[in-house]
Amino acid sequence: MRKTIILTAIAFVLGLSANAQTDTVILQKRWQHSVQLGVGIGASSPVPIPNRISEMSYTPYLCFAGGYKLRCAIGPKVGVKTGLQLRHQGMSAQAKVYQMFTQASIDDADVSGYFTGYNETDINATFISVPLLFSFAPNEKWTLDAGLFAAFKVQGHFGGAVKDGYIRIDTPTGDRAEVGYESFDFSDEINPFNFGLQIGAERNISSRWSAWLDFTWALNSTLKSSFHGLEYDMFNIYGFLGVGYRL
Amino acid sequence: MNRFFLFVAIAGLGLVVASCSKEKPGNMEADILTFSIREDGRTISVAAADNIINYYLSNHFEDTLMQVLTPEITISENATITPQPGTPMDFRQPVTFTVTSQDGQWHRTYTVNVLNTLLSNADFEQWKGSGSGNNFFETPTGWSSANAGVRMIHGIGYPNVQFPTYKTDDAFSGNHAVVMHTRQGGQSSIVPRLIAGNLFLGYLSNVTMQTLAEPLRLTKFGIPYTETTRIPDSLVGYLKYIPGLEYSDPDGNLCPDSTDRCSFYAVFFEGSEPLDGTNSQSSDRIIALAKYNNQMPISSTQYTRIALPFVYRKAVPQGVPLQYTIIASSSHRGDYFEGAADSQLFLDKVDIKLRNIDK
Repeated sequence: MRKTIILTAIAFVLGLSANAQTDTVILQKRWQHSVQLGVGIGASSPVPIPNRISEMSYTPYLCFAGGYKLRCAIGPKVGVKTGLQLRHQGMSAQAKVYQMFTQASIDDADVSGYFTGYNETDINATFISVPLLFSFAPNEKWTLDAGLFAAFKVQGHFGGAVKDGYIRIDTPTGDRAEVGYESFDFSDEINPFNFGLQIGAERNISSRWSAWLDFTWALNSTLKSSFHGLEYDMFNIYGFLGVGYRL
Repeated sequence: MNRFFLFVAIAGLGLVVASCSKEKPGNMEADILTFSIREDGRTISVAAADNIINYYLSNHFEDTLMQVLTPEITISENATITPQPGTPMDFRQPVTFTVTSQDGQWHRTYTVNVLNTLLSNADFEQWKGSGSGNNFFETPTGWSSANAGVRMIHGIGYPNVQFPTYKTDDAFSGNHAVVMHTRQGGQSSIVPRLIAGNLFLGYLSNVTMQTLAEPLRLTKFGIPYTETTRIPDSLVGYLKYIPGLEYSDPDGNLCPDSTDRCSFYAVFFEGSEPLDGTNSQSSDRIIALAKYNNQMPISSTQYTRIALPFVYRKAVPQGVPLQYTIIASSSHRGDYFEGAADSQLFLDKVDIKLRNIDK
């Protein structure tokens, strides 16, 4: 999979380089400020998806992002980008799960154990994200960015339900409880801090306007490490594209 | 631009494909699902909560035949079991089976009692433990209680609820008797406020999140009635009863004028399906009922002999399966969350007296 990403990165660098044209001098400015708006989709997903999950269906929510971006040119082709971005991330997923460790709350009772049946998950969260990117400008029109991001949770919902199945309490040989429909809410367990890899590209359309795209892959789990309601980590993986206006 | 997006999409697709290519994981369950004795023909399903299987033979078997009964057992998918069923075994004593899950990580041990008499262990001398630590409880061989339901209540966040049915040395005869002890439960809609101790002939069904709060449907009453020439005449037992101090109604309001009562009754009924808490005294399948109804006082300090006649509601039908059960509880309205915490019913030396059909 890592190979796929590297190949993708190489391919897109080559592909975009072929389009290179020089018609503006924007990138020669030392400081560039812009405001940006965009839309995106993505998922919070275990990587790889455990083999206890099957028959998965996934609905990405249309997510919005907006913020401020700053590029500082260090040399004629290289620079550093940072900024402040308010971004919404969300999705829903339905899956058939087989003997997967989980937790569900029924009134004030917490049940944990191995669940077989159907699972619905709904995630809606807002983060303030700060990227720190190395920015390479092969020509006057394009910048290609790669680096890290840090994101801080503003608000978040992580909930769902287990249904049409049964749970073995505590262990796979524990007491068996049939589950018709029981909801869970792990909102309080959302990790308040997220960090990871970010790559992106930006194309200047005019002296003021640009189009941009970025792709973030969190390296720490969506849920707190102290949370043991799921036996695997989930990672926020999102892509956004949008327009920028240079100030 | 478009090209870039396409590459990201392909990369994402690669991720999904890479992660879906694995095979299904091994089954972790290690349950006995059904149990049968080939020579008897009856098959019983086994609730996941049970580690003890009471198989009442529906026909009388001589002792020599008890040594060569063939168990037939179904277990969780791809699990293994020792000793291997399907060959004759000696069931004069309980037989232990161990089931191992497909992935080899999980084991369950079952004790199988094949019971040859109309009423077994009615003096409550033989007990079998199950679970460990906080989840350990004992059950008299051949009988059932709702203790497994309380173990489940432990599992959902109420580890301090005590088991309501247990063994005592304060016996009328022999070394042991049963205590049923009404316990304080929880405050949620899942965990009943009061949990009455009970003991019965039958089995506990698989629990659902709903039935935990609705215990009437959890208890399945009835074992085969194997007598062919005689019918139940009376139910006898030795009881001691200490009512709890604070009687409260289903909403938890105290009722200072009410005193808790125990329940003790036997039901003789037709059909192969069990009765449950909703119909154990009202089903039209009931042939006769013997019930303690405060006819005589029960001492709180020494065992009192209680004898209750079976009151027949109809003639004994011919050619249909017959069953019977004995049921006891420390709070007679405990099924409806009504009663007093710490009501205690001691029970020993139960018997069913029979009479010839003609009389």
